[in-house]
Amino acid sequence: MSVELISTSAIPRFESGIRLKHDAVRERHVLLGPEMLIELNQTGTAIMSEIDGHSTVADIVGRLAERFKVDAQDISQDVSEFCTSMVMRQVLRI
Amino acid sequence: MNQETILAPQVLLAEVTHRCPLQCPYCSNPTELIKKNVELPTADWKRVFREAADLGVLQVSISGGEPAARRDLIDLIGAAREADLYVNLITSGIGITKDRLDDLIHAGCDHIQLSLQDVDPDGAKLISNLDQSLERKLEFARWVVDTDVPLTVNAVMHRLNLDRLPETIDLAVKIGARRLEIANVQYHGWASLNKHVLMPTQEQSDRTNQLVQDAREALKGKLMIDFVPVDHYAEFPKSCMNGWGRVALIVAPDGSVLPCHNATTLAHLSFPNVVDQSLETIWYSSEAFNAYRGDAWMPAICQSCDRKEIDFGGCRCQALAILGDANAADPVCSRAHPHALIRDEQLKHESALPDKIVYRPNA
Repeated sequence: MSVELISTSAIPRFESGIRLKHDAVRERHVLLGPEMLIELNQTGTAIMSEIDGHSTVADIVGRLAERFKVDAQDISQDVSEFCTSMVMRQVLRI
Repeated sequence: MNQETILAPQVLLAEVTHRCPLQCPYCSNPTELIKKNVELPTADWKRVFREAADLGVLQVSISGGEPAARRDLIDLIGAAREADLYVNLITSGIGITKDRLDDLIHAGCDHIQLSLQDVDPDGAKLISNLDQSLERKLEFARWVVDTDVPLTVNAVMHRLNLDRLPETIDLAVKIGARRLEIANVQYHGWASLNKHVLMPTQEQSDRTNQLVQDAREALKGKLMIDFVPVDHYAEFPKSCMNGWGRVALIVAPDGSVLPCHNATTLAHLSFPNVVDQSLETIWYSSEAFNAYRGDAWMPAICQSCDRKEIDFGGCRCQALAILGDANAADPVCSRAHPHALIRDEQLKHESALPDKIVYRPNA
């Protein structure tokens, strides 16, 4: 199924009732919501940690590129896809 | 199973009371209800929440009975949230005023799940045995939706309301629920006493499966739909509680700790209590929680089955109730029981005329 990616100028926000939590027992980050538990990998954790309700997808890409010393163009697609999948799962809204 | 291979629990079901203003004849509480005078006090529940979080539990569902029957519900929610658990409140909505709802949310309730007996007022009254129950629930739902807290509608389905499934889905959309659980009755405990009234027909069951599939597609991104099909018509067992002692634990109102709602029907097991032992000891070391972990207990046909990592052997209570042996393969399983035992069992009820409903008492 092809899904239209959210725009890089969109501002992703946490959907109400969704929490990002560090799961100390299992040494990982998870997203918690109604009957929902999503285990995040390092990339997912890095992206979700940048969601602040003010930054656009492009801002987030820029900050991640700087933090991980990579080219923004190389990660833009991945970040957009990740955010889009989170919108589909009602974790983020735009 | 040695301790290293036992996974830490993720979910705690805190059944803080069995008292309830409703009398649904399929209630998941055991037929032997626990009385108010032996309910755990607030301080013990607070300790349970902290111990659960330390053990690795991430989500708590505060449930009942009707949890709002406890006067300390706000304190309980606050304590669960303070332990950094994700707090789900599982409620009938009856007995919670708008002010109390605001206080519950302020205390840290993350998500509210509201039970729905029927979209038809008379049907709702017939099941809940409470006047105006539907109207009161709809008012409660409006209050929740006006806050920022996500609402799940839990619609329990059976022969008497399955034909109104389309209206049930419409209602969930109309009131602004984020999720809808379409949960067919599980025929244990009270529900097994009412099979003659509640068991749907094969035709109803088949229609439901198609309807749910279509609704999921049509409402994608708008309403999430979880579906529990009619167990008795399935080809394979459900993964009961996601496996015995694998993901979740239940603390009953008196502090006894159970691997599933109906575990007390397994009379050969004794269930430990949080008053005597830590949750950690109970989860990792108790005989009850280790009884059906892994595959050593399974009959040979299950041990060699590729589905044992999917359904973990299915439901022990059902095996005991229908086959008289808690270690037997789940009676639903078509591989272990090619003669479809459970369908015969089911057809018996389908052909019986509905007569008197056995209600659960309020307390």
